[in-house]
Amino acid sequence: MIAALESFGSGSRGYGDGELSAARTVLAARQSIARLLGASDPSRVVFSANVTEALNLALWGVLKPGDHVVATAWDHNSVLRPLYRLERLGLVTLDLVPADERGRLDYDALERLVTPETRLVVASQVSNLTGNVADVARIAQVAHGNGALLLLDAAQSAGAMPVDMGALGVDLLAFTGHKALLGPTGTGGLIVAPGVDVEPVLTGGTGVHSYEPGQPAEYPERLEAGTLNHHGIAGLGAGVDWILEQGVDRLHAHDLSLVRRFVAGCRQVDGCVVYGDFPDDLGLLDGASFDHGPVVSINLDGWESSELADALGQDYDIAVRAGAHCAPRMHEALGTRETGAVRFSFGPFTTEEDIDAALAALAELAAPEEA
Amino acid sequence: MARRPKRPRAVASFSSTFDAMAAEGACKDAGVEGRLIPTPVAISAECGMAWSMPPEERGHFESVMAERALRFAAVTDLEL
Repeated sequence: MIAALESFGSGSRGYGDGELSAARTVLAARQSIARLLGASDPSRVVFSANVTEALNLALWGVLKPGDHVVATAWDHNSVLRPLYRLERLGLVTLDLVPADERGRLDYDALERLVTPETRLVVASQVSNLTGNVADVARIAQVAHGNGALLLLDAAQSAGAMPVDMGALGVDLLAFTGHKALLGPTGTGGLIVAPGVDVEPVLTGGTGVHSYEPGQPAEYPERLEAGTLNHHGIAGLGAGVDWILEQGVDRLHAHDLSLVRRFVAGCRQVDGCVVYGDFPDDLGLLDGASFDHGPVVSINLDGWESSELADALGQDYDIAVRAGAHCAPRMHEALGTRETGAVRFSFGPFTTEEDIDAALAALAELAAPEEA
Repeated sequence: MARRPKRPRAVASFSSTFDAMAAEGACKDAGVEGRLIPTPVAISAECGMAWSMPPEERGHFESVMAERALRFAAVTDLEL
């Protein structure tokens, strides 16, 4: 990415070495992302500024007046707020699949709510709060059985676990660059399956078909008006290439081992509540019997989540996120609307020693203060 | 610098930058002689970039595109 900052011109808008290098790097990034996420056509990997923009491109570009949409309690505000707005404008009707107090999705409700009138089903592959993993193949089956499309929010899963949008039956997949894909902030994208069309939300220059009044029919330009973040995409492509080299299965196994270690340790800390759906026997958390994403959220008795996050950061140099996590429905399901929760996130560079340090900090903070 | 003398070229045009860049990668990989150039105005320019090659490379280019299922709009003979 540093080399890109020092050399790139504006790809697809010029023909010098710098411009062509940028365009080549963007092409390579599309190809790598397609390979990692099981997309058959890399020209349908559309870049955006983040996953929120990608989700908006999909929602506003697919939904038509009168459509019915089903989303879930797992969804982030990047899904919920555009849908609430579409609903408020009288353009769509919306139903949300609830989750229970352990954050488990109600698949029976999903089957009831999705009907032949439903145009789109939206689901998060991994809850950004509990880290639990949705049964995407089942959701796709329900959607397609009713003639609906499936939009998958893969913000938490892409790069962290095997994701094969073709095998899963995903029609639209939104990803962010800055989480497990190891790219910089300001990168993300939408993958559109062959045969699915998305009306452009943004219109403008593409470097192609300049005399046509409308956006081109060809992907990715159809959904990429304006100059891309070539430098950021270079960083994202490097991150994805590193994941491909390492093997996403191996990285996922690493994350799962850290989740097991952390949750097992949390169970030993007095007053520590771990949110989400975990097996009693954490040995089952192996990705096959029971899968999990690279985040775990907790609370500690006697601590507000914001206060705990601050103490972990200031006194132990442990970075976590407190509060609502832009996941209002999930917090309501878990009963943590008033308290929030503290989310720990793991990745390829997180070690067992880091986990143990976090557990030691929690144990210390949980201990009653001496009089 | 003096203007370059014109010579016959076969110029492949594309409908998208993605297609042009994918073609460039395939041509370099397969040894199709040529390079990306700004699309000549004589071609109804759809993408701003075109693949310019010696006329004798046309068949090689077309077979590489077919083998790799890559898209191009047309190949036009021009004096460039």
